[in-house]
Amino acid sequence: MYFHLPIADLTVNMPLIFSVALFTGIIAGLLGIGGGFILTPFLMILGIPASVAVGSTGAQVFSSAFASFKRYHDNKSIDYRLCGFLSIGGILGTAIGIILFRFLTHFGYIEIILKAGFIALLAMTAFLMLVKKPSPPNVRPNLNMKHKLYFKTAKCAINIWGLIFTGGLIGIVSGLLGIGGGFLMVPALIYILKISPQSAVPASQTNIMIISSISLFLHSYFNNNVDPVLSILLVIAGAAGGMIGTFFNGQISQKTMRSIFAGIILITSSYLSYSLYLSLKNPLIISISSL
Amino acid sequence: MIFRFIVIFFLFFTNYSFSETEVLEKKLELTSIYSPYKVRFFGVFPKDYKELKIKIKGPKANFTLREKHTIQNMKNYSFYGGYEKSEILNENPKLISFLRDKGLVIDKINYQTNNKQLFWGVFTLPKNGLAGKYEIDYFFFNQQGEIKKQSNHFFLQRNNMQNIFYELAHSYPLLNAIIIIILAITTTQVINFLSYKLRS
Repeated sequence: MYFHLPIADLTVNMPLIFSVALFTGIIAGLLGIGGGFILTPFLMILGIPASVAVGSTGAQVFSSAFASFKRYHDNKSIDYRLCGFLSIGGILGTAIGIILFRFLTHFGYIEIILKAGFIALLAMTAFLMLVKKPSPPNVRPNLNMKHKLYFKTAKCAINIWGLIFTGGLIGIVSGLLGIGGGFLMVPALIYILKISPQSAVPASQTNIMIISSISLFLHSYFNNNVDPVLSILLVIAGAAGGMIGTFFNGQISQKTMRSIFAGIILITSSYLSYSLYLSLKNPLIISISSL
Repeated sequence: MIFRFIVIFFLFFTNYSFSETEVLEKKLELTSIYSPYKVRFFGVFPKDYKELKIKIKGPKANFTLREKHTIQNMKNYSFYGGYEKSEILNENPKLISFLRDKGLVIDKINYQTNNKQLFWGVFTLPKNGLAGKYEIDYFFFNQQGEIKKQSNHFFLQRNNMQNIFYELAHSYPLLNAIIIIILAITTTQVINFLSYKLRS
């Protein structure tokens, strides 16, 4: 069954796209991640233009983050003041990322940068999976240090510039690559800013929800690359996949899940590397500047 | 089916019967049959014109091309749909293939004829043909090398649903984003509800 994507101006095999998004959702549900950084490369491999894949994945990232946000909000484990500082940086970073995206699209570099960016991200993910994580630090509030604020719900004192800077960096990556960036933000919050995991994960998900919605608005307004049909398809499939993944979460061993995930990362990054090699090797590099 | 294009294919074709003092004009209305990506055509040769070449030029689209050796200078080229490949493409197979995928190049059109009086044929629009105006030029040749040109056009249009989405995203991008976010929230809530019900 073929379906026409109005913004990509492309006829695609709908069951194939749905299956891929469902599969990504299941993996995300099994591993407790957003899954945006796997979904976007998959869409690119399936022939969706990179710019549309990046813009439209934002809806799935938002949906996934919103589901987590709701859960943490109900548990009252979100420190909204902390999220506010993170989001200030996140919004600024996302805007910078989208300006970069527009600039690179204009000059025809976007495909190459996105491929290279995703290869780097996937390699980093594989590395983080292999490295044994140090145990989370013990948090002791310190009110006397300069530029630090005490966050009541998170029960710690944190440098606000560190929060804004971290949010900004993740925002740039998010705006440029259309991912949530939770797998980068959570380690940064825990190991650099010394926030407890119990507070870092809810803060990260809330921040992702905010910056993915901002990213969706900015991509839609400035780049016209948010395909409504593809977005809704990804949201439905991603949410359904996430539900299935969460359902089977306790039934598959961590080792098996990590092996499956590592295999997917390896295949995806290999394909992207080959595709990047072809793009660089061929004499012409072509990209759509506007449709 | 939602993805099907609606083609308004109206072709008026004139048959000229030439003499030095008289032009006899007949008007023929060509019928068209459009199945997903196929367009049928037929017509009548003008008198004494026995050869025909057909060219189709598609709608306009902007592309950015960058040659590898000019990356340093960030040299950009704007290409538009529907050019003949010999005109602009420098016989570059990769570029031709790319543009064909985007519906920008339609190759030489073949036709059948009955004693060089009637002609008919079928051409297939590229898989991802761009919506818009397609111009068909008919070039008739006689033995003296004279050329007679006649033109028609048809429109490739999105169907209503596609048009709504397209207009929404291009004319009201913020509303597009708001609708997507609302739908994302609704979908998430529905899935969460179903998940809760399944678990309980």
